[in-house]
Formats: sequence, structure tokens, C-alpha cells
Amino acid sequence: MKPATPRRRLLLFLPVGTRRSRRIFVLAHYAVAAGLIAITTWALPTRWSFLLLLLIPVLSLFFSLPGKIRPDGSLRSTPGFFLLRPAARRGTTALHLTNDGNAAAAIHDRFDERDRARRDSAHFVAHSYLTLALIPFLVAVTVAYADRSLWLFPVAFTGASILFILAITLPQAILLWTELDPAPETSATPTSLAGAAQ
Amino acid sequence: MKTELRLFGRQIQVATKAGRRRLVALFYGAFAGLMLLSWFADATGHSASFWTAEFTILVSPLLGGYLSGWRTPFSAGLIKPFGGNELIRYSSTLSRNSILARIYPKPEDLQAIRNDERELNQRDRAHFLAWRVLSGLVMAAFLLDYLEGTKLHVLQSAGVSAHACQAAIFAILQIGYNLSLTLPAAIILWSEPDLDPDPADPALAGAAQ
Repeated sequence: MKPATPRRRLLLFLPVGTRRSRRIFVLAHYAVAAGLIAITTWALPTRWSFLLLLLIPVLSLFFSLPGKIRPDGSLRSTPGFFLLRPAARRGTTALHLTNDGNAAAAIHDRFDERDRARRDSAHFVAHSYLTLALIPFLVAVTVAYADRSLWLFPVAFTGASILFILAITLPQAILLWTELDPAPETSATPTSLAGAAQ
Repeated sequence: MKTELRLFGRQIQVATKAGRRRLVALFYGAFAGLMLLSWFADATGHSASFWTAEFTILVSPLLGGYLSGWRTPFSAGLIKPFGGNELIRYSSTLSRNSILARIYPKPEDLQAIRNDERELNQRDRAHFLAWRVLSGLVMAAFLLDYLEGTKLHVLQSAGVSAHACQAAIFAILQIGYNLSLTLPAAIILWSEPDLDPDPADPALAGAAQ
């Protein structure tokens, strides 16, 4: 019998098995994204700053890969973000996170009722935050276009970058931030339990 | 969800799915018409921004959800306030004084804003669906902004002027603003099956007699 492959609890070489480590992961992601936005805004409108800005969607897309945390603390493959579902189905990058791409695992990976409720609830919270972020951005763009204020165009551009990152990552970040630590596993296996009963 | 809409003293029955879908189509049709007219009348888009804000704040309470409440005129909404349960939670933890009493609902208002478990699931599911549209709009705005902002002249070589690109970003944001506050309620109204009319309705009670 082939031994079961241990599930990975690492993402980008960072541990995500506990709630604390997941929160550090979320904060680290947003810190890196904020740093990139700050650098590009400062360097606007040079050509290399726009090339640097390309890193933001790449980083955010990579961050949006984990969509569900299993009861044992490992990550499942299918992301919550709709654009990446085909990629996950084809077994590309996302499947490497869980390292068990067989049929049984695929059934195990399906969303159950609790997963759906948590996913939808995270989207409700994310929607509220994105709406709040959208309103000042719309005001900034309106003012910038009204009197052609040149200093506001970088602000509007930065706002677009922030909104883009939120649009891609926020539901996943809320899930990672709020998911509780898994219950402690018992070391007893069915075989050992049967032996103990005898 | 309410089964009738009270508008200027008239009662409009929206217990059927078809009736609610007509209402949603009318709402977005009016918004689209207003946007088109505004953009044709003023190519800078400022009129469209003004009318988008006005339409969203003044007309969206009819659908309910975000711009809904327990006081007139916000109590007209068909969908209960999305944050109603949070309001109840906050109000129960705060001491009552004259200012808070105006902000938070009174015990007799709770029925109008409290969401049960099914309504909460509906609300969250609608936001999950609406998120796709909203995030798609935001990403489209970012992409246009990026392509317009780069000095690589990608859009210019495709025959799109910088002004047209900025106008498109502006319009996308205006649509996004409206949809962010109305789309979840519209999704619920669109997808909810036929409801039984409210038995407490005096008109129906009279008809039954």
C-alpha cells in the first residue's frame, strides 16, 4: 500500500498551519503590495515604474490561490477567485499546494455547506470594504478630471492599484484571517484503536 | 422580503418573481438611460457622476439592502437592511442616551431589520455573486488606467484616444458605484421564488371577505 503523502502546510515557504501564521502571511502580503505601490507612485511616470507595477497583479494572483483551509490546517487547491478555477482544474500551480491530486482528494476538496457559508460570508464583508474604498476613489477621479489637477492623477492611479489588489485578494484574506485553528489531532489510528480493543 | 412596494401612496404587488424582475429591469433600465443621457449632454462625465450619485441615493432605497432602514423613507425597501443584525448587536451593548436612541433602532423596530438564518444565507450568496461583477469592473478600470498611463502607446496604436480611455474609466467607476450598492439586493429580488402575499394586507383581507 502506498503511504499517504503528508500534506503541505507551507505557502511561498511560509507556514500557514496556524491562525497566527496565516495572519502574518496576510499582513506580509499587504505590506509587500503597499511597498510596491509606494515605489511605483514615487517613480511615476517612468517606464520602469509601470513594469514594476506589473508585479502587483502577479503577487496578488499568487496570493489568491488558497481558497480553503482543511480541518487539519492544510490548504486546499481550488481558489475562491473565479479566474483561477480553470487553472486549478487543469492541475497547474494551485494543485502543488496540497500535493494530492487524485480522485479521492478531488471529492474531499469539494465545498461542503460550511465552506460555502464561510466563503459567501467572506464575500459579504469584502464587498462592504470594497464599496467603501470605491467611493473616495470615484471622488478623487471626479475631482482630477474636473480641473485637470495633475497632482491627482498619480493619486487616482494609486487608488486603482489598491482597488485592484483588494478585488483580487480580499475574500481570501478574510478567510485566512478569520479561520480558526484546527482542533488538535489524536495520534490514534483505526489500526491502533482495534489493537487496543483486543 | 416584502411582498408589496409602497410608492407615492400606491401599493404595487411584487409577490411574484416576474413582478420583481420587472422592477429590477426597470431600475437598471432607468439608470442606463440616465447615464447615456448624461454622457451625451456632458462629455466630461461630471453630470453623469452627479446623476449617478443622486439616482443611487434617492432611488436605490426602493430595492433595499444597503440603503435601507427602519425609518421613513428608507423603510420602503423590499429587502431588509443587510447590516440589520449588526445594528441590533451594537445597540444591545451600548447604553441608551438621546443621541444613540436616534441612531440605533428601538425594540419595536427590530422586526423590520432582523434577518433570520435563511435571509443571512441569501444575503451572503448574493454578495458572492455580486463580487464577481464588482471585481471585474475594478479590474477593467485598473487595466485601462494602466494601459493609458504607460508610455508604451498601446491604446493609441489601437486607435483609442487618451480622452476616450479616461472617459471609459470614469464611466466604469460610476457604474461600479451604483452596482456596489444595489446589485446584491437586485440579485435577491431577481432570484427569489414567488412569495405568498402578506395576509395582513387589508386589501387582500377585504377581497377574501
